[in-house]
Amino acid sequence: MSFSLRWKCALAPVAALSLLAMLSAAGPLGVAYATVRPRVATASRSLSLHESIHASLVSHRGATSLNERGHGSGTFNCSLAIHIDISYTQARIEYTCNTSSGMMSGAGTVSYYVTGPSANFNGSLHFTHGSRRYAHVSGSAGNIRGTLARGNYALSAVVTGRIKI
Amino acid sequence: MPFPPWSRAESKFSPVSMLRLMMSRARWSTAVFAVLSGLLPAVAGASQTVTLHAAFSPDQLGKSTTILIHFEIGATVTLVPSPVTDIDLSLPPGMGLGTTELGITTCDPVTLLERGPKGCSPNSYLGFGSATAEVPFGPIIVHEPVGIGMFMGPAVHNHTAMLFYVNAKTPVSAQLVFPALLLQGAGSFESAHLNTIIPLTPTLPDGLDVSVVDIRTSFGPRGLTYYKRARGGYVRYRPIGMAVPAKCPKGGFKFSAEFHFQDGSAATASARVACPRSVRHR
Repeated sequence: MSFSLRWKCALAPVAALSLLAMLSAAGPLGVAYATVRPRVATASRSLSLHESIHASLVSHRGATSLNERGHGSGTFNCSLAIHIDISYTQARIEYTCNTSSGMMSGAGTVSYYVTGPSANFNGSLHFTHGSRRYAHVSGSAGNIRGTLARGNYALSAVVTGRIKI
Repeated sequence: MPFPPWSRAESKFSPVSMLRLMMSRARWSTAVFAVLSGLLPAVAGASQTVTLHAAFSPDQLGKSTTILIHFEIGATVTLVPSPVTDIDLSLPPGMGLGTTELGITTCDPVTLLERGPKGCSPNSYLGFGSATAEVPFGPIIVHEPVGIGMFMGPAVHNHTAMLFYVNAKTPVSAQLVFPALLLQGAGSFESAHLNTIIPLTPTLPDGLDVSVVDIRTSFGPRGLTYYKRARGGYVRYRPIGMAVPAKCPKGGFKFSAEFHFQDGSAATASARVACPRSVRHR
């Protein structure tokens, strides 16, 4: 028997024990893997956002709170529900954007000023919730710039930015 | 805030009326002259007092209203207060530009200056007012009535701008156009203040500038008539003003003002519009 063969024979029981130990240890894990769907890490990806929004007044509460509905076209092509609280120089905008792939919502405080027949606003929008495809949108921010017609409160705006989805 | 380049002040004398005035007063004012000439040099170092009165008309929660503001400016040690250079009026929270129809059209400040209020659309009117100026001619203090018109102007540096058109006829004939900018207040989302830089109006060469001692303004639909197209013509209507908030804070709606004067001094004043009876507090 050569030296190497003798060593192999000597190591065989050790290897067998080690394999047995590994299998017994892996047993419960193996069961777990078989019954629980593995968690798959999905990398959020960045998306350039450019959405043109048009909405019209649905209702208002008092003189400073408007509810609007409309549609966005561009990146999401979503249907929109927008709530606006208007002060002297600022406005709070809350919106929900519904697409066939999920919804996202957010809010922002924007500067607001009037110049004759239109009011203008400009500021940041923060995405606070998302679902399905847009589940990771929270934390992203975009910019909104637009006008509100003072005659009928029709809203036109463009939302731009870069968001994570 | 830099003074917008499109705003300029123009004042000119009406020498005939001034001469008549001075001549007529000169006959009786010899004794007064001696007294006043000793007092007038102190004008530059005078300190001023300001009182502010505010009201809503009508005063109904949640309803369109006209805001009435009345300032009285007095001097504590001299007969004539130092000219006002800057007024900063803090507005009560809870109001805003939401659904108001005021100033649905803008008025061009250059046109306003050249052609007067007739050069602007009736739909650009925001309100009216009047003031009393004290014009020092030597030892004589002349009270001059001043007309005020308020118009929606083009925005300045992304701020809502109101144009004041001030028209004084005699003894100092002056037509001024200057803006008031609606600026964000230091407090909450709802706070704001209206900042007005007032150009100085000279009297005689090397003489003192005109001092304003009383200002009354009404900002809102009262007395305004707007026009809109309907049925092939124009229909008159009264615009919707800013609404009184739906809930009244304890103590009422607070206005406050800070005045700055040519002599470097400042004065503050505040006023509250009491809550209407049987109101909800917030």
